[in-house]
Amino acid sequence: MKKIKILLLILIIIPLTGCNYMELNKLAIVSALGIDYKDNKYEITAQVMDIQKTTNGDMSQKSIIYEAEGKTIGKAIRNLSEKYPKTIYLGHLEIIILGKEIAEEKTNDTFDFLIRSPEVRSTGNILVNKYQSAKETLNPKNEKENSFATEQIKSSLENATKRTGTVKMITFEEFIQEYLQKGIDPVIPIIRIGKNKDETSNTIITHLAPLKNNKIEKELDEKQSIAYNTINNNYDDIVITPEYKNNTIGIILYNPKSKIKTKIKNNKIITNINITIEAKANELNQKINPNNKRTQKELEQIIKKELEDYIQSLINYCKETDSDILGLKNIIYKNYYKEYKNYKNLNLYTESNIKINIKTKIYRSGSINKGEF
Amino acid sequence: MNKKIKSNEVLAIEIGLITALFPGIANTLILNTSKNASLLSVLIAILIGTIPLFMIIKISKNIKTESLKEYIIKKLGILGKILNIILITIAIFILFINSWLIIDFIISQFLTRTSYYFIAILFFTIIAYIVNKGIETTSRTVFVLFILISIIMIALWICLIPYINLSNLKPYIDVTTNKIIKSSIINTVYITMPLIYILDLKHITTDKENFEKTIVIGYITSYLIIAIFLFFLLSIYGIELSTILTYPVYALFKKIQILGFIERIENFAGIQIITVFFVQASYLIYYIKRNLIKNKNQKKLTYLIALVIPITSIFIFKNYNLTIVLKTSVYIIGSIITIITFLSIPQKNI
Repeated sequence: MKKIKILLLILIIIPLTGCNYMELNKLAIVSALGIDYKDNKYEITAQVMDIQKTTNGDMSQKSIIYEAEGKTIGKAIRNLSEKYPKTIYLGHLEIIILGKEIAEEKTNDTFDFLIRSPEVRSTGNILVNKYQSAKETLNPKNEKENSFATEQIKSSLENATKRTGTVKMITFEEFIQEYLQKGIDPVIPIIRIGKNKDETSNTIITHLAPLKNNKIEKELDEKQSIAYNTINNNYDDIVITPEYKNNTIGIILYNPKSKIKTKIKNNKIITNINITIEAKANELNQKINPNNKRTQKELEQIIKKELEDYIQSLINYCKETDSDILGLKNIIYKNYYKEYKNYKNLNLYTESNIKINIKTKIYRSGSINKGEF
Repeated sequence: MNKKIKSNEVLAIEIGLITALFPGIANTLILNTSKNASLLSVLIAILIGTIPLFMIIKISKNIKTESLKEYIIKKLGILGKILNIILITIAIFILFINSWLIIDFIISQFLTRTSYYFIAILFFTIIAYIVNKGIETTSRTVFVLFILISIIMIALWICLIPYINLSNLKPYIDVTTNKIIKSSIINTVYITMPLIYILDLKHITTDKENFEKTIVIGYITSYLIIAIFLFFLLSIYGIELSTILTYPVYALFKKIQILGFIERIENFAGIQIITVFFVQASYLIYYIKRNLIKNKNQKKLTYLIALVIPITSIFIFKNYNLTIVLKTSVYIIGSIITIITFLSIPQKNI
C-alpha cells in the first residue's frame, strides 16, 4: 500500500511541472509592443528577443520584428501566430508604444486590453508617437532583424527623465492609476522618428503630452515639460540656460522638492506652487565669482525668474487646452470632497489665483571657484 | 479523547479560516461598497464585531468536553439538530464559493491552459488526504503553513512600504454613512462568521482555559491583517484602480522590486493567497466530515465530499452567472449564523 501511495505521489508531480510548460525556444518573448489603428483594424508590431548561441559559445542578442493585424488588439496578437512559428509571450514587455491613430481616438480600447490581459506585464513603460505609427517607431529602417530598439528607447527614456527633465518615465500601471483618478489629466511621454543630416532615421523621445477625453492633446514644449517635472519632483539633475549679463549661462538644477497647495477661501481658489530647489553653476562664461554673495543673490534671482517663466508657460498651456495636468481638481477632490462638484467643470487655471513660490540656493561653483574665461 | 491540538494551532486555523474569505470576494465587496472609507468601515466593524465575539465567547465558556454539535443538540434538542444541519450546509456553501474563487484565481493568473477540473482534483485530493490523517495532522500542517506565510506576508509588507502614497487615501470619506455601515456589516459577517466553527475545536484543545483568549487574539490579528492589506491597496493603487482589478492584492505583489533587481515575485507571493484557502478548505472539510459521516467508509467519503464540492462549483459557476448569489449570500449567512449563535448562548447569559 505504501509503495502504491509513493507511486501515486510521483505520478502527481509529473503533470505539475507540465501544466503550462513550454520550451524557451518555442516562445517569442516580446520586449516592445507597438499598437496602431488603421482602416478599422489594429496593427501590432512586436519586437521579439532572439537569443542565440554563436559558434564560439557566446550568446548573441538580436531582435526580430513580428507584425500582424486584427479587429481587436487581442485578435491581432493571436494572428501573429499565423505568420510566425513561436508562441507570443508578453510577460517580459518593457515598452508599449501607441501609434498616431490610437493617440487620436482609440486610447481607451487599448488600455482595456492592456489592463485586462493577465499575460501583459503592466510594469512596462508606455509612450505615444503622435506623429507617426508605432510600427515606424519600433522599426524605423524597416528591417526584419538586428534593430534592437527596446534597449535604446528605454535607456533614452531613463536618461531623459533623470538628466533633461523633459520627459517622465511612466509604467503602464502608474499611468492607468493616474488616468482613473478624478480631476487629473495624466501626461505621457512622446516619441517620434526624426531624420538625421544623412537622411537616416533616428528615434527621439521629445516631451510630454496629456491624455484627455480618450485623446492625446497637444505636446508640451521643453520649458513646460521641465516645469511639470520640477513641480512633480521627477528628475535628478537638469541644465537650464538663463541669460545673465547679456550672456547665456548654464545652471544645474537638482533635488527639486515641490508641493502644490490648493485652498478654497470664500468660494475662491487659491493655489500655491511651492518649490525648493538646489542649484550649481555649470557654465558661467564670464569673469565673475559665483561665491561672491551679491553674485549669488543675482544668480538665484535669475534662476527663480527662469523657473517662474517655465511654470507660467505651463499654466498658460493648461488655460488654453483646458487640461488639468497638475491635478488641481484632484487636490480639490481629495481635500474638499463635498465642494468638488462645483469645480469639476471649471478650468481652475483661469479661475484660481496661482502663486509661484520658488526658493533656490546656489552654493556650488563647479571645479573652479572664479570665472577667468 | 486522545486527539489534542495546541492553542497556537487553533489560532492558525482561526486566522486562516477568516482571512481566506478576503482575497477573493470580501476585499472587492468592501472596497466597492465603502470606497476610500473602507479603512473606517474596518474600524467600525471591529466594534460591531465585539457583539458576536462576546456571544461566541459565552458559548465557548459553556462548552466543556462536548463538540459544538453535541453542545447545540444538548442545548436546543430537535432545533439543535436542524441548526447543526444548517451549519454544515453553510460550511459546504462557503467551500463551494471559495473553491471556485481559488481555482479561478490559479487558472487565470498562473496556469492559464490547465483544466479547472484537473486543478480541483489535485488540490482537493491533497486536502482530503490530510483531513483523513486526522485533526492533529491537519492542525500541525496548518500551523507550519501559517508560520511560513506569516514570514512571507511580513516580508511583502516591508517591500510594499516604499510604494505608499498617503494622499491616495483622500478623501477619507467619499460615500454615504449608509454605505460605510453596510460595508462594516459585511466586514463583521466575514470575520465573525467562521468563529462559530472554531468552537468545534474546544473539546480537543490541550489548553481549554485559554481557548477564549485564543479566539480574541485570532479575531484581532485577522482584523489587523485585513486592515493592513486594505491600507496598502488604497494607499498604493488608490480606490479607482483597486476596484477594477479582479485580484487587487495579487496585482499589488507585481509592484514589488527588491534592491532594484529582484522583481516579478508575485507568483511566489501569491502562495499566501492559496495557502490561506488551503487552511480554510482543510478545516471546513474536516468539520463537514466529522459532523456528516459516521460509518466505516469515512475516508472514502471524505475524498468524495472534497471532490464533489469543487467540481460541482466549477460546473455551476461556469454555466450560470452567480454574481448576485455572491453579493447577497453574505447577509443571509450572516443573519442565520447570528440567530444560531444567539440561540446557542446559555439562557442565564442573555
